[in-house]
Amino acid sequence: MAEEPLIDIQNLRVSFRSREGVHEALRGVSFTIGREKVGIVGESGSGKSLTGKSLLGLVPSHAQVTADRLRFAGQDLLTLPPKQLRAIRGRRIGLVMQDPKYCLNPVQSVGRQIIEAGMVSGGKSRSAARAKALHTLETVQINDPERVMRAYPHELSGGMAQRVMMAMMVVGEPDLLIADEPTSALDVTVQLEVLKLLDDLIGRTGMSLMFISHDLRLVSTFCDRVVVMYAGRVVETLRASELENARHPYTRGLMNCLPTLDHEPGQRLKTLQREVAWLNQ
Amino acid sequence: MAEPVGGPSSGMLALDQVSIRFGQHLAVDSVSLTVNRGDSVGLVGESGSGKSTILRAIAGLTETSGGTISFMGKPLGAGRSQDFHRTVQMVFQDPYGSLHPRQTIERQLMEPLIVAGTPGGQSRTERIRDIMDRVGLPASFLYRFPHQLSGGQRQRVAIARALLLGPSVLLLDEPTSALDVSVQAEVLNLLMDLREREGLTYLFVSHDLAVVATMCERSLVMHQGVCVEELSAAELKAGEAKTDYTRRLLTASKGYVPAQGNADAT
Repeated sequence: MAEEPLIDIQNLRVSFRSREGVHEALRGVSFTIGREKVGIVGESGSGKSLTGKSLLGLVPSHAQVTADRLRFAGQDLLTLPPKQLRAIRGRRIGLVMQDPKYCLNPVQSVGRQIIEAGMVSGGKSRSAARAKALHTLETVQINDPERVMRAYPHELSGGMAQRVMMAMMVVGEPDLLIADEPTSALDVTVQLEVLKLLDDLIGRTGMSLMFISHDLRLVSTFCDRVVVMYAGRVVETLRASELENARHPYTRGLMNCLPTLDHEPGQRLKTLQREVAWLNQ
Repeated sequence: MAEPVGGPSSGMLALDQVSIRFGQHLAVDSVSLTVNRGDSVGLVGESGSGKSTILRAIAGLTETSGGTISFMGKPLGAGRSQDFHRTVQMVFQDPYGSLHPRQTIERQLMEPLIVAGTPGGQSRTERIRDIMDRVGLPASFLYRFPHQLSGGQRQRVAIARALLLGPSVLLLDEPTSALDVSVQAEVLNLLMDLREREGLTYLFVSHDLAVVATMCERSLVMHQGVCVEELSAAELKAGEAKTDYTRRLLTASKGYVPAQGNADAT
């Protein structure tokens, strides 16, 4: 790619100071995202969510964040004044989190929340934002948008709430969507519907996707590229289609320890033998 | 180990047309199933399908509104006896929620022994050390608190606690869903080891078909409170599902398939 990538992360470090000393949660993370779907995979504590949050400046205030480069569309996110950061956050970069019910305001109707998101990001009038909200709800396959606009989050199923959340995030037509385990709280069949929708939205708007997940199988079937993280570092970056040829023992270990339908009942699963050397590569 | 008393070798645990109602909502609708001694039977389904409710009803934590649950050939009433709890134990999904946060592991493992009135003193401590060894945890962990253990270690403690009284049946409610995949593999292997070594019987609830295919010779697929079909592991492996719903689950478990022209609409 000749032009500058949308997201350029170079040597990102995040550490937390506590009574026990300094804990380095991210220890030099580097990767770029262009116009593509990139999956960030790792187990709990690998720093995958924190990487997404660092981009949005959502890390806790007592954390120390440093990086050689942390750029979005050419702008340095670390030195950007708060006002300009707000112009990016939620407008040019959207965030969808794991638990939709937790992220929606329980005492406001869904419509009001989407309209607000539309007004903030586009500076539109209320009526224009309302029309846009209705249209966006339709694009996320909600059949009866008028009714859903009036509904409160508790009146929606998990899959519906996640669609509403997505509508809220894409109503401002962001350039990048960060999806942090967007389907992990959903049933498998609903999960596929939501992913299909996400795929459609990306196809239509051309936005980029940073898909954070623990599910290697899902990521490898959904994304273009996969970034594998372990203990606050990137151990391997590869094309999703080439995951079978992964070189790093951690990536291979993760793939091999997954139970599959081909398993004989009672046949032992391969376990992951962690090596100290992985921490310092 | 407490040998289960009497009972035929088949039909150790049987559900006959069991229904469970929460107010107006029929959570489980006439489900029948038989678990023989030494079997490992899976209950698969999505949230709200009633799979966990069935386990809770067997353990006596939820009342049934119809049908009978029999254990060792005898129908069970509303309550459960000490003997029943000694032979049938449950392991829950969330190892954070199922352990006491302010008690050491040793104290928590002591609890079932005290409740069951086993002889006190040295023999209790020995049993606890022995059980820690069997689930692959070092004895030094006895003096830790749950927050000082990882998720996988905590789930091992929960399994140890369930095994303390020498049960013959384990009711496992999504025992690995809260764990990372690499830890899941270790815990599933441990459960397979224990079953082979100690001749345990499992009723295994999971939303993950692949996990059930690995753990069970036979599985029931649940959907909205109804058992839609029963599959052997071989049928599951060959993808020989009889109902549309199971076929959808099978497809979904293989990951995302990008729409190419026409995605088959459901």
